Amino acid sequence: MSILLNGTFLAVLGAVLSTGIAGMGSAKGVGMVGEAAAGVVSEDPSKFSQTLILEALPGTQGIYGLLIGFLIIMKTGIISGNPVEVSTVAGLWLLLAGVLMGVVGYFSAIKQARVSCGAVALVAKRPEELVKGIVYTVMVETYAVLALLVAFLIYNGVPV
Amino acid sequence: MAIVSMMRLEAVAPRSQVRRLTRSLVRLSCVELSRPETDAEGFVPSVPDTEALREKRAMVDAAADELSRRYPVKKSALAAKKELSEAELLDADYTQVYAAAERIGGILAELRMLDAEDVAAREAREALEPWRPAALPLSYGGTAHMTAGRITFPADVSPAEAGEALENDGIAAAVSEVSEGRELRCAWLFAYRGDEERAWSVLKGFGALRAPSLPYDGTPEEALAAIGAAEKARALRRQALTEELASLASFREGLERASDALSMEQTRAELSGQLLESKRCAVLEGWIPKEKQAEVERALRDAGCAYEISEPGPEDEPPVAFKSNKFVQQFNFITEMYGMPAYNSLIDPNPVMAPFFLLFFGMMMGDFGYGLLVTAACAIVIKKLHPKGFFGSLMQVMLWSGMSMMLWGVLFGAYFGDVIAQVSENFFGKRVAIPAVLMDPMTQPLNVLILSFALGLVHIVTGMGVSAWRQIRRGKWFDAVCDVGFWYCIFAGLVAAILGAGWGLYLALGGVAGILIFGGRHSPTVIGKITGGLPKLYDVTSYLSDILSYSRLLALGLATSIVASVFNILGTLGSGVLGVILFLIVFPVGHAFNLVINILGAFVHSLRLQYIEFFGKFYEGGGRPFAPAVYRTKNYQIKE
Repeated sequence: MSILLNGTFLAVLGAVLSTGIAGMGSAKGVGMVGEAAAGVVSEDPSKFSQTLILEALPGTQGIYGLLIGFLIIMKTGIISGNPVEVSTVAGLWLLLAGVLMGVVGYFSAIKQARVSCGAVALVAKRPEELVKGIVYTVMVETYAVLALLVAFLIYNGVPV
Repeated sequence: MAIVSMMRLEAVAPRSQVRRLTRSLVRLSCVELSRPETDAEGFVPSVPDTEALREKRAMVDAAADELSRRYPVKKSALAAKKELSEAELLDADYTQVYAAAERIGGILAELRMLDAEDVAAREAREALEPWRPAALPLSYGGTAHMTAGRITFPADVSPAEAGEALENDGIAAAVSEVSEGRELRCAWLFAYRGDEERAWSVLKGFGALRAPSLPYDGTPEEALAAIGAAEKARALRRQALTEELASLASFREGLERASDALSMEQTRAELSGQLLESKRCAVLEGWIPKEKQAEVERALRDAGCAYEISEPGPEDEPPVAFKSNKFVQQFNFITEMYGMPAYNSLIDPNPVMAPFFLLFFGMMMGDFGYGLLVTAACAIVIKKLHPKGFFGSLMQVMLWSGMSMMLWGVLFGAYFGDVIAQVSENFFGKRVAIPAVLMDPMTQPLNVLILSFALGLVHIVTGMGVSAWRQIRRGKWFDAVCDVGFWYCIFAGLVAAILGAGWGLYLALGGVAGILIFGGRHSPTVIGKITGGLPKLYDVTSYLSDILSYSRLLALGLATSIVASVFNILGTLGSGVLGVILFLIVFPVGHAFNLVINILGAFVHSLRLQYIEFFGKFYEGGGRPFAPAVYRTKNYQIKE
């Protein structure tokens, strides 16, 4: 039971949730777009590079999750082999930051992937309008960016 | 730096000069034609035979592709396209080339047929093999009193048993097994003609079937020999054809030229398809840029045309193109990708947009090392390949963006992330770091956030300024003051108040009052005029969300720095010789990954900031892009 109150444990849990859940979202999202893209390219292989760009777009949430996860782990000091004493409260705060990035990353990645699939269909019909598809997709990413920002500010402000 | 002024072109040309006229118009690359509408009698749309050109080009391309596939010529990927003049390409004599292309097509067709016959021969062999041990002719039907035929049994049934069963039943029939295969066993059936039915009723119980008839009369040996002879003949023919193909390989360059010439001819023909023709003349109308008027007039006069070039009227919708200096011109594609502004919108957004794009892109990728790599790569590509069109503009934009990245890298103190600090600390024991000239996002994120908001405010204020400028150009001074001026008062007042000046608050309140009073001035009712200002004030939320949107400048900059830092830490985990090896592996791989991932994000988010936050303040869309008839060639570049 006492492990649940251990600050380092809570912090690492936050890192795990941040990287893991956001990564799950990005994996699922990028996969969805990849399926759509494969369908389009099977009809017209010249559209490969355009659909590849669209497939890469939902992948950024996983990177953001990795970012926050890595920052949290760095703060606990376990990477360099000198673990720092993390209080329970500080651990909880870091957990919250991680959960924020993970959850928002997950949902925004999935929704962004759905827009990106729509953009793939758009490009299949009108290959000259790729940029409009990209702009539609990127609008969703605003919220992942805002979550990254707040998570970072929380991480920054936690006294360890 | 403006929207190009367009002039309406209307002309009548003698039909004999149409070819010469369309060719010179395409060479000018500044004429957009659309078919005139008229009910006048005797004028029919010209229908050029582009289909024949397309087919010819397809034939030439197929021949050229096949030659480059079979006899590849070493060509470096970085080689620029060779240059030829327009006359050299179009006026050359291609009769020999076309003859070669046709012959190549014929050879390929015959080779394909030979391949198909080889496949059929293989299948025939497989069908004949099982019957080879029996020397009977394949179609042998028997004698006057006896019938003979080929039959098959399933592999697990013994034909000998079937033969025994026939004997036991007293039926005058015999089964003679020929061969045993994996799926079937083949046999000859000999039966007294009267007993044939009874024989079959027994045989059916054993799963026997009549073998499919084969298109050969002689014995299996004879048939197989014939097939073998045919195969040999085909092999000889194939060799002869391949040798002939090799002798034609020298035509490849000629074929590539012909392909480009045909595509140029196709462009010319498509342009002439926009003409209305009568018995002796052709009518055309379209748009030209004002500055090219003299050149176009000269081309028209040379072709003996009567023409009229006039200013666009109020109901006309001229197409839109941008004219800028060489630097801004490379950024035009950004606005073109979004959509062209309306012709009357007076504003070419590119010169204002370009510096902001560079600024934000550099900030989101701010790293000196990455910037150096990007600038160097783009410089090499531009110098070696001389790219044109969209790719050329993209390379130019990325070249400048790379320099912006280097600048922000110095300001943020990022040189491949914090690799200098990590390497010096872990390998040499003493931490050495180049300090940030302005601020370091990793240690002072809040300061960078405020900088992002400040730059965002500048961006938005500039956008509003553009809108105000346009209203002033249109003579609507009062609208400019009410729509933009009062908001400027509010922004300036708030910023001054934050910075400590007390009068700032009064200035801001003055702006608020101005908006409340004059906001409803366009409303038709008196009540509307009084209360109309209130919803206008609500715009403050949209301005607030716009400014907050610029926090992505910090977020993406952090993403780049932190991932770089991650790879630096991973690279410096080891020590000694192994540590150095680890570093030499992780460093290039990790930073390449970081660069690629983040460059896409930075590009896309920079675009988004221009399209949504900036253009949203003043952009009037709905323009039609100017699409002049222009030669498009694949293999050669046309000399100017």
